Amino acid sequence: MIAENSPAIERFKANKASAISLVYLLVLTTMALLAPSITSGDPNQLDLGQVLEGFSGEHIFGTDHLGRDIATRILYGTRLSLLSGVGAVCFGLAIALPIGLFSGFVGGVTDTIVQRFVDALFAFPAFLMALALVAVLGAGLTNVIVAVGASTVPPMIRLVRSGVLSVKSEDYIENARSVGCSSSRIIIRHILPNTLGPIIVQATVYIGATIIAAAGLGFLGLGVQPPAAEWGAMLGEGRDYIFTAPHVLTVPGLFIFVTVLAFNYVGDGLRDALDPKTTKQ
Amino acid sequence: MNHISSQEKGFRVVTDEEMREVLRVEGLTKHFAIDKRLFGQPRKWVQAVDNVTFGVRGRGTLAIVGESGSGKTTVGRTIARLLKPSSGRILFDGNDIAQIDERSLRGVRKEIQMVFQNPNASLNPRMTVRQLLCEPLIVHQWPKEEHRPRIEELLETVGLPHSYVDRYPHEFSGGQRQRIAIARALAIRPKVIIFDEPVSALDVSVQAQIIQLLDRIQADTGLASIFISHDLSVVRAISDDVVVLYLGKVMEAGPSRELFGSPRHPYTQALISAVPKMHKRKSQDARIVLKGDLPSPANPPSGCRFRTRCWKAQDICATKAPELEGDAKRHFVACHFPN
Ligand SMILES: Nc1ncnc2c1ncn2[C@@H]1O[C@H](COP(=O)(O)OP(=O)(O)O)[C@@H](O)[C@H]1O
Ligand code: SF4
Ligand SMILES: [Mg+2]
Repeated sequence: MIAENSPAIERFKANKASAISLVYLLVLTTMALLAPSITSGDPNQLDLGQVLEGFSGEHIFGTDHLGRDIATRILYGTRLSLLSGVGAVCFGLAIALPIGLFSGFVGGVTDTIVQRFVDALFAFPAFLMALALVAVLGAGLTNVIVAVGASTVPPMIRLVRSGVLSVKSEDYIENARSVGCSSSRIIIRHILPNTLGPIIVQATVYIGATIIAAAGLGFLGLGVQPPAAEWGAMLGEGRDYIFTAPHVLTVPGLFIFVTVLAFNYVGDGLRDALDPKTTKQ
Repeated sequence: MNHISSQEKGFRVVTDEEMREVLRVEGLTKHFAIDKRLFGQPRKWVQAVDNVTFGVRGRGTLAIVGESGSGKTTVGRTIARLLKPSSGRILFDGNDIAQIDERSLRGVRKEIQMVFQNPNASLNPRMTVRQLLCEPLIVHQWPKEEHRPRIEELLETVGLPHSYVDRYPHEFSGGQRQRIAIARALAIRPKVIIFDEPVSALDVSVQAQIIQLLDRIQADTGLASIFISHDLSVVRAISDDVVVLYLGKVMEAGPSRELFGSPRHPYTQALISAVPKMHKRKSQDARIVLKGDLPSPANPPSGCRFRTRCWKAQDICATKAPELEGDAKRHFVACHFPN
C-alpha cells in the first residue's frame, strides 16, 4: 500500500517527530532482540554487594535494590512490553476485525444489535476492563495480552465498522457485485484493502496505550510476574526507593513514556501520510 | 457530440434473431423508503421508477433518456439486479429474474453487466488492471489458462496497451479508466450490458472516442445494450429504440427514427428542441423552454406527472394519468393531447 505511493513515504519523512520516533522504535526493537549478546547476559543476575548503584561505566543505568543491572533489565523488559503491546493489539484486532467487517457489511438489525452491545462495553473504562479480566484469568504474559487486548475490542470494532461504512457505498463495491463477486469476496478483496489504512494508523496508536495498560498491570503486580524484567513491574518493585535511589523508577518510567509517545507520533505520521486529502490522486 | 454520424441501421436486413427481444421489462416499479425505521413499515416513499415497460432487441441498443432524477439509473440497477424491484417482471431469455434470490443471481451476473457513470469511482483503487480484468473470470470459474489470453484480448478491444496491465486506476485518465471498466464488463462475454451515462463524467474531447468504441464493440460482439444518457445527439446516433422517462414514468417510447422524426409527447419535444443542432432541422416550431424544476419524486404531481411543466396541460391532466398507448409502428406515448 505504501510501496505504490511514494508521496506518502515522502510526507512521513517530512514529519520530523514521526521520523525520529520510528527510528527510535526500530533501534529499541533491534537492541531488545539482540539483548543476550549486547548485555552482560542474565537480567536476573543478583549482586547483593552492589545494590542501588548510580550510573557508571559498568552499569550505565545503575543497579536496582537487588543489584541487578537496570540497563539489561530494560532491554529484556522491552521485549515483554513490546510483546504485550503488539500482542494485545493483534489479539484485539483479530476479534474486532471480523466483527466490525461483518456488522458494517450486513448492516440492518444485526448491525444495530452489535453496536448497542459495543456501546454497553464502552461504558467500562478500558483499563478497568483489563483489570477485571486479569483478576479472572490470573497474572502472566498471555493473560495480560488477552486482557489488555480484549479491552481494545470495542473501540476497534467501531473503527473497523466506520471504515466499512465509508467504503461500502462506493461505486466499486456495487461494480464488484454486478460482476458477480460473492459477499465474502467483496469483504476480503474490496472492502478490507480500502479500510486498512486508518485501521493500521489507529492500531499503531493503540500499541502505545496497550503498553501503558500492560505496564500498569505489571506495576500493580497483576501482570508479568517477578522476577521477570518488565517495565511496569520494575516501576512497582522500585517504588520503595523513590527517594533514596530515584533512578530505579525514573529509568523504566522514561522508557515507558518515550516509547508510548513514539508510537503516538508514528501513528500520527502514518495518518498524515495516508490521508486521502493530501494524497495526490 | 454532434460530430458523430448516425449509423444507417435501417438499410440492414433485420433478422428474426435481431427482432427477438433478449430482455423485456414489464411494469417495473421501484419505490425507496425514505424514512427508514428499525421496526415497522416505512411511511414515506420515493417512487423512483413506476410501471415501466420496454423490450431490448437482440444486437440492439435501447436508450433511456430523461433529466437527472428521472429514475434512469434505478432502472439500470434494477435490471442488473443490484436492486430488487418493488414489483414488475424482468424477463431475460424468457425467465423472470425480478425476484430471484442471490444464489440464482449468479447465472444472471454472467449475462447482464453494468458500466457505471463515474469511472473514477467504479474501479477499486487497490487493484491493478490485471486484477480488475481477471476478477470476473475467476468469479465465473473460467479455466486458468484462458485468463491471460482473454486479458490481452480485452485490452486490445478497448484500445489499451498491454504494458499497462500492472498499473493502478489512479495512473490513468478518465477516458482510459472508462475503457478499463468497459473491458471488465465485457470480460465474461455477457449478452446485455447496461451503460449508465458512460461518458457524462468525461472530458468532451474523449466522449466521442468512447462512444465510437462502444459502437464498434457492439457491431463486433452482437451485444445488446441499454444506453442511459441525457445527451440526445448521442442517443440519436447510436440507439435503435428510445424510452423517455420523467419522474419514474415512461412518457414516450419507440424506435429511434420514429421518436426523433416525429416526437409526440410535449416532454420529448422539449428535450429535442433544447438540442441546437436537432432543433434547426425542425425550425418550424419555436424552441421550447421548460419552466420550473423537476418536482420531488417523493411527492409527484397528480394525474400526468409532467403537467406542472407542460404548456398543453388541461384540467383532465391533473385528475387522470394518461395511459401509455402505442401505434402500429411500436411508437408509444402517454399523453392526453399527443401530437
Ligand atoms: N437508494 C436510494 N434511496 C432513496 N432514494 C433514491 C435511491 N436511489 C435513487 N433514489 C431517488 O430516486 C430518484 C431517481 O434517481 P436515479 O435513478 O438516480 O435518477 P437518474 O439516474 O435519472 O438521475 C431520485 O429522486 C433519487 O433521489
Ligand atoms: S397529459 Fe396533459 S400534462 Fe401530460 S403531457 Fe399530455 S398534455 Fe401535458
Ligand atoms: Mg443516474
